[in-house]
Amino acid sequence: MTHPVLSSIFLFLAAAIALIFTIGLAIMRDPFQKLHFSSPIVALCPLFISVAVFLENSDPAARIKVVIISVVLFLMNSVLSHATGKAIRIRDVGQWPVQIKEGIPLVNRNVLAGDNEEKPAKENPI
Amino acid sequence: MNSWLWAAVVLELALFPCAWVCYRGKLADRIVGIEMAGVLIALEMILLAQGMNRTSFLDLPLTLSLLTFGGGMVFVRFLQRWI
Repeated sequence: MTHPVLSSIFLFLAAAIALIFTIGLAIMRDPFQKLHFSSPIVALCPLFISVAVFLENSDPAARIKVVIISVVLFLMNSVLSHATGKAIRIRDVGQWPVQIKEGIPLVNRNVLAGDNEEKPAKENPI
Repeated sequence: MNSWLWAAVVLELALFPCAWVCYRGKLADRIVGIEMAGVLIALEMILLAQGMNRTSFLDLPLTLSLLTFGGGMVFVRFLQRWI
């Protein structure tokens, strides 16, 4: 049983997300900001397209292929995004770990990121 | 024209910002743009295969999604070390 209206709605959502976030990708200045804009496209568009295929196509081979494509895109693009960010940082800064001189504070702590020096533990008075 | 083909047209329009980033951006921006274009083309191939009722064509986006990952990793490795 097919649901053409429902599948059209999902296709509209997928296309709108793709268009909006690629425009955002073009507008952003920093490559790290651009990387963030690729995530919604990879996470949501394959999902919506898979749902649309499930609603309109009863062929099990087509359904399985679309699901495999969606899973591959989702998993591998997350790995690729991380690798891209790491490569850009290493290219810019020279190394992957954060240094103290970058001045990035850790949340809820009074130390800067990269301050890995072990402080001596206080002796227990008891 | 059915809804699948209209969605394919919109996804094709979404390739233009990626092309703009690849054309005008810095090297790191271009890598991000070409990775995004690979994902969009794979999705576009799904829509075209379904819109034209040729489900056997779905092998193409499956292959492309795998090759996009491999190609992207090679680009990234070159960007990190040599370029």
